[in-house]
Amino acid sequence: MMNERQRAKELEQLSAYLDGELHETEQKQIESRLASEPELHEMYEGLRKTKLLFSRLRRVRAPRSFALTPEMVTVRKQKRPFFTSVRWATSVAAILLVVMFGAEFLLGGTFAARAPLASAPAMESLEMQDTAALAEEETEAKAADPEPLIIWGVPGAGGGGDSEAYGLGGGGDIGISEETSPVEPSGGGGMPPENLPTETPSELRATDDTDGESLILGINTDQVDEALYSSEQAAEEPSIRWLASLTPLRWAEIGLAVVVLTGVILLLVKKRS
Amino acid sequence: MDEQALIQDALNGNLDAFNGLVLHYQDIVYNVAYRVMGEHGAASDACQEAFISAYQKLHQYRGGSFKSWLLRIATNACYDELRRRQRQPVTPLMPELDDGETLEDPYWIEDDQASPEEQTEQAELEKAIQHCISKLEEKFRTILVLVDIEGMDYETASDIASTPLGTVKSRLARARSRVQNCLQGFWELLPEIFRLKSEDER
Repeated sequence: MMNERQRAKELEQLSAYLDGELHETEQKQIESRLASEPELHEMYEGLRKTKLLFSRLRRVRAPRSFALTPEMVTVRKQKRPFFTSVRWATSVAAILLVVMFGAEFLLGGTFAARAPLASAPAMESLEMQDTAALAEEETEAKAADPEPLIIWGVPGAGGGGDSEAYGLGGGGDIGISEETSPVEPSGGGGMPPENLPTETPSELRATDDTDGESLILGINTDQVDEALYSSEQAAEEPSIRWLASLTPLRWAEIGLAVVVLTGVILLLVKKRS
Repeated sequence: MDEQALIQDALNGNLDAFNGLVLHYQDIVYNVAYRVMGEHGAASDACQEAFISAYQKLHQYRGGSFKSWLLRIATNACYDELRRRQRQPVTPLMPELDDGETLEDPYWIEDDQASPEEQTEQAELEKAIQHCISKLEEKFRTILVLVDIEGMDYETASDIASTPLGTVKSRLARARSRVQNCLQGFWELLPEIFRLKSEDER
């Protein structure tokens, strides 16, 4: 191994000596060694004869004129810019992509923290949509269910007495239609008013603090409609969830990756053609 | 020829001025291309490509030796052409002999003063040398052609090949050594003075 390295070094020095490319001191060293070392001298002779042999090669003249015509130049001018632009765009996009990934990796905390923060409202709205969807299911189930929507106080308390409605089921003036309630709006046989559980006006207001016209189990119909719309939309487009969770940074990265990929494909196709 | 004036005119869009430079340098560019490529068709393509490229990049020329700058473009054009031909092999448009072998010496490199016998011997020797040069790797081949065939010094070769001086030195030594070994296979073609050992020693 050492001998091979040494031989390569000697060969290099002899070759440079042959061309007069050695410094004066190196030149003198080689000359004295050549005089005393036949092997080295033989090596030198081999190189010298080989170099001399190249001088036997005749100079080849140009077989024709290579003068340019305007067509050669104009065709090139039209051809070049597109692929030059593609090459540039691909390089710049690749560098930006690497920088963005690098920054994200190095400043992971900052960048990573941003993504959940940015998507938090989206997650919140998704949860709301889920709740609304559940509410919708319950509403549908109730509508299909023949059971009464409202249980009037305690069992057997229907009727509301003779003249005044003390319980929830009383006079029907809270807007519950007769059709939806199988409970007789009026009629005797009920519990005497003094035995009915009493409710203060404030308690009544608590159950009736939406506008009384659209009260169904305390859910405002406007809210139901809104929730219905949102859940339908979410059900129609499941990719919305994923898209909504993307930050502008991710969008930029995806865009750059597309540019790099397209550029590489175009350049490969060009190279193959 | 006022080289700088031609360059300036060419920069101003004068194609005729650039063609003046082409005609002046086309022989040396072609010779380098031919020795690097080892084939006339390929050398011709690389040469044309080099001049077109030089015209396109003329605004990048920053003074110094125009010949070196042009040869740097030419060697790069040779590498590109070699790669292109490796991907898409082409049939050379060379004169062929009756036995189907390609004649290495078309009319533009014939020596009119030599006898037919001498011409044949010379052609055979050149064929052997070119064969050994072509067997070298591209990076070794270019340095050998620039220094040993074009007679350039190490610094100019280093400039043209865009390679450090020390690398030029080592690549040249190895290239010479490899060609020397390769030529021993064509011992009978070598004139007596170029043989490393006499016939009796072999």
